[in-house]
Amino acid sequence: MEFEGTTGKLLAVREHVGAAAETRGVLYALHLGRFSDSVTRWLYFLVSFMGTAMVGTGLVMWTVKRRQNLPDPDRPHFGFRVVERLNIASIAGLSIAMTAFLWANRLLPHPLEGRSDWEIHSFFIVWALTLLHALVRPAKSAWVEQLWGASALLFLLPVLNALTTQRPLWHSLSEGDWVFAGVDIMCWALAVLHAVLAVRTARQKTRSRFRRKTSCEAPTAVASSEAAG
Amino acid sequence: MSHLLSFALCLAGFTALAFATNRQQRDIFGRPLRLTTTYVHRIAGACALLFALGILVARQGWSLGLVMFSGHASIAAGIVFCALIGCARVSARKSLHRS
Repeated sequence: MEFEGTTGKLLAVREHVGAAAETRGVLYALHLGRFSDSVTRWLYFLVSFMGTAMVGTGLVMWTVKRRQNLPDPDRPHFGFRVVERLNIASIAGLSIAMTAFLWANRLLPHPLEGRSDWEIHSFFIVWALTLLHALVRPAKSAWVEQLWGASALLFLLPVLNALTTQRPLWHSLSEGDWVFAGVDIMCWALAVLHAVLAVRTARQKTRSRFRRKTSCEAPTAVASSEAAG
Repeated sequence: MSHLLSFALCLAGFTALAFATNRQQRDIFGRPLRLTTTYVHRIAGACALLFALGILVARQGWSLGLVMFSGHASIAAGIVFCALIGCARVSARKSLHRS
């Protein structure tokens, strides 16, 4: 639509746009999931989630398999350690950073200049901090701590919503607003998922130690990150 | 309604295709099925998936229909895959208890 700059009068309406604008519109709608009915959007979310999980598990599997082939799995070389730490920040750290973005959206003061930019800055600052944390902590501890951190942030996000916005979960449920209610409920579901992953990762450490004590076999790398500790 | 029907067809289709593989036949039935039965499962599975695609394309057109089919097929395949893993684990536990 074209408008008069001074009066706001509608000058022209174009029903069709060029191929480039149409392509951009399709990609934009796909990226934001702004198309079709809610069932298809849920399917789109679940399939995308499965694809992302496949990449994440593939990264972890790669390090686990590679460690088994190292001359000394307990003392991996520098390159392996770098990949291992980047994996922690890319998988567990990304969950924290993305949740931190939503926390910043609710906590940054409204008169702040460039508020929307600072939301993005918060994402990258927190992501960099998770990488720093992964570099300085033993790898196994870094996995567990970051997964618990992501779980806590996700679990508390609906509480923060209730405290800082006009859209607490009970309000969304009573209004039948399933978009807002769905976001809060998915935050809790993802919090549970991260907590389960944290518990399983922590248990893996105990199991592999137990295996070493009770068997005479050469130490194998069950977990991706035990040795760095 | 088209979502539900299409999803049920995808689920049935992938189940039939899984039963058409040698490994699942060995794991679930304890022996390979007859060749004719295997072919019937393969054809039935493929037809169910095509029928699901047809329903969605007829209702939504090719663009959205294909997107919806991709979602239904992926979720159905994931459910069948997880169910097969679950079955294998349950039967492994049972055989462990017996021995």
